[in-house]
Amino acid sequence: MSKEITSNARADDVFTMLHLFEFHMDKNWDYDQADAGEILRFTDHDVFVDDGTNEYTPIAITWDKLTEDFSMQSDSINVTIDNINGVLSAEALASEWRNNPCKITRIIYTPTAETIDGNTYEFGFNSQSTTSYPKLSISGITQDNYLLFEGVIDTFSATQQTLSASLNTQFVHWSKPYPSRTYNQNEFTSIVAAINDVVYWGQQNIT
Amino acid sequence: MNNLTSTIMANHSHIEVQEWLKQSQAMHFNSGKTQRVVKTLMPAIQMQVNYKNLTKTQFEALQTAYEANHANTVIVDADDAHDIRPDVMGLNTSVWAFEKFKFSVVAPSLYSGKITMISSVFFNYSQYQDEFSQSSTYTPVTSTDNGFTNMLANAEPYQVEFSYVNNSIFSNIGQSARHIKDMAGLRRQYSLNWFLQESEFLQLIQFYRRKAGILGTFGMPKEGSISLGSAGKTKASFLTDSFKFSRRTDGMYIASADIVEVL
Repeated sequence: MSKEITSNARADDVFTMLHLFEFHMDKNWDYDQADAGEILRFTDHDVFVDDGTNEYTPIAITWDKLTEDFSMQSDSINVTIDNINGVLSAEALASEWRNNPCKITRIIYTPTAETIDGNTYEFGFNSQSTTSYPKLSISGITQDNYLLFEGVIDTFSATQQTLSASLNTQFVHWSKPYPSRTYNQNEFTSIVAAINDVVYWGQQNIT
Repeated sequence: MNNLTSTIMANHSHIEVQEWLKQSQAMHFNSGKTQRVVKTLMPAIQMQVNYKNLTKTQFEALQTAYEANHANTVIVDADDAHDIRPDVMGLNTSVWAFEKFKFSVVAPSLYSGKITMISSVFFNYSQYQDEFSQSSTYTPVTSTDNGFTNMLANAEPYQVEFSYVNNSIFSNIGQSARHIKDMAGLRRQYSLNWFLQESEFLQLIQFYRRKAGILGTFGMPKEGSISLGSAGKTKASFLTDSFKFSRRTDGMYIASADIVEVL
């Protein structure tokens, strides 16, 4: 997926950026994608965001700066969510988070113009939604949309004020089940394929 | 969600506003050669509503509104702060949270002060409110101790300042507040200022020395001074190291102390 920002998602020197977060809860340990548990959807935007299929709840959520490198090292980030009324920690402690999929998607778009009290604002709020409550519908907006981070939830900790989760990319499993020896470039693909027969995401592959 | 528009906007003298554009930042591409500015229209607003020369009844209306809503968001249709949200999204989005409450009163009993509010994106729709319930509790402990009021009968303060110790926790999106968690334990805080003859001052400092230590609680009149009314007393204590005084060359004493309710 390209991380290029196309010219149609920006006008002159302005665009808007928001992020969508998905945390899968209560999935079984077999990592069966068809076995959908509850999925928590959050956004760091001001109002609800609707991508045409799902609705994302606005919440105070921050995460570490992402880094990428060439060494194929596992990368992990910490995500922090406001938890000041304890709802999220209650949810977290009642469910199994660890090893469940999560992803962060970045949406970049140019806000369309909006007329308020006869004045036209070049870049409006424009919820583009017919619901009674403020909601941004991004499905009909020209946008650049790319996956910023995809991985699994490793650990989490909750205090009265915040809920923090450590997220690992899928690459973290490269370092776990494989034997510690050096492979020839040519045989690498077949060796990985052979290992994947019995090991998948660090666990026994039972499918 | 309570609509405090008439309560907050009644009798105010002027408003000071600071406005932020949310999520405003610059992003660099192509090693910094190209820059794009990230913008959204929805602003965050901090509104400081000022009041001058309020009567006791007018002041107590504001005080009651704060105590009942210090840990929940409220609706204020703040046209004077040019809040654009009710025009764009409806009155249910003109949501605010209390930040500060500070008033003072001097003879002849006219109250002046300010209330600071911050815009909130915790809009008054069930979709926003469902997961995060809010409430405000203020439960002071009453007292029948007359020691402080007896002392005040002789050593009357010339100025009383009112503020609060608020334990609630805010969640923020950008500069705006989101929802609030009431941690209970809201307490009134008073700052009293005296200008006294030596004989009256000695009563004050003796009372302070007897009551300033740990466990030194007493009954504090709600109005801060018995000449302003006597609507009941609550359990209170001196704030540590808050008592200060100076002696003038003419023998008069200037003193001040901070007092906070205890639970």
